[in-house]
Order: sequence, then C-alpha cells, then structure tokens
Amino acid sequence: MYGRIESAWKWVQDGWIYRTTVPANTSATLHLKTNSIQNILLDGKKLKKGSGIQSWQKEGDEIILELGSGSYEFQITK
Amino acid sequence: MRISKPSYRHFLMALMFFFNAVICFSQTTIKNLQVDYQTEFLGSDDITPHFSWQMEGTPNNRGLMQTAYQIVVADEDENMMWDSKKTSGSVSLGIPYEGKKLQPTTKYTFQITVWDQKDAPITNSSWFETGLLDADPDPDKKMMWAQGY
Repeated sequence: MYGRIESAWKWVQDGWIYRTTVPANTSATLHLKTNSIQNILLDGKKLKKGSGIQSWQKEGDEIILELGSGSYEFQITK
Repeated sequence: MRISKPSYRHFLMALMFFFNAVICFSQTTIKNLQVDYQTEFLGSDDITPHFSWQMEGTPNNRGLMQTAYQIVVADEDENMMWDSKKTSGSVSLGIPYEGKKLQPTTKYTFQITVWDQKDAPITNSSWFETGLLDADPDPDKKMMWAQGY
C-alpha cells in the first residue's frame, strides 16, 4: 500500500466536478468522459503539463489523463 | 505614510517568513516504517526481514515521487549491520534485508532515507527486535509429549 486514494464527483448545472487524491510515489490514469480537452479545467485554469499532469490523450469519447500524486479538482463542462 | 528605516521588528518579520517557508517546503514525510508489514515488530523470527514505508506529502504537492532509497540497519551498540547505499527506484514495499546475519533477541534500529524527484532527501527511523530465530520448536531435543500411564 502506498497510501489512501480518494475519488469524488458532483453534478453541477453545466457539467460536473471531479475530485481525486493520488498518494505520494504513485500515479493514476483518469478517464473523463468528455470529447475535448477544452472542456476540462484544473484549479479554474486550462490543463497544462507539469504540476502533476504527466500527459493526456483523446480516445473515443474520453480524455485520458496520467496524474502524479497530489489532490486535484477538475471542472468538466458538458 | 512614513516609511521607517529597517528595524528590529522588520528583521523579526522577515525571519518569521523565512521559517514559515522552510516549514512549508519540508512537509514531505516517511511514515509507516515496517518490518514484515508490522510496525515496531517485536519478536521477528525472520532472518531475512522485509522493509516497507510510505511517502506522504501535502495534497498541493503534486507529482511527488521517490527516485531512490537507502536502508541502514544497526544494532544496539550502533554497529552497522547493513547499508543498502543509495539505490535508484520507486519501490517502497517488501525490500529484503541483505546485511550481516541477525542475532536472536536483539533490537535493531533501521533508518530509511528517500529521495524525491528533486533529489531532496527525507529520512525517518524505527526499530524491530528479533525473536529466537530458530524454526525448530525443540532446539535442545529435551522436550517430550505430556503423557500419563
């Protein structure tokens, strides 16, 4: 065990909010069902690499993110 | 507003900011130091104990990774039993002991040092104590089944 993993989501008017915590020395693959990276905000800003976001790719109707450790709050608009 | 000359008070405030910054940057810890998946294992009968630990950072510290580790084991008289040396890797579970032969009923301390992705070291220590280290329940061959005639 490398630590506690947390995952939570909440529907809001124009989409949903997804919160997660990835333990230290661990990485996570996050699948978000949205068709564009433009629909995702982290800390109220557009996604950018570094600061925990290792990479992302689009696959079908999902955006797949590789996350390093830490806490994240994503806002996804429909 | 009158701008005063740097004073003792300003110096003190600067010092407080400095210490605050130091505290903020040093909140990565090594916790749950374990031997054979037990904390402060008393009575270990394993001649090859396995070491584990967890790295923990503040939630806003994203991308915290272990890049190397070092395990140092010493006995009560501070004799070095094993020094793994700085070893690359992110593994922090079930690392086998590779040092000198452990003695029975002896307390050993172990220190874990972990380096993060910026090569900053974090360290912590704990202990374990060996049991009789003999798998034979009757080492002296003096035991007998309880019996009655």
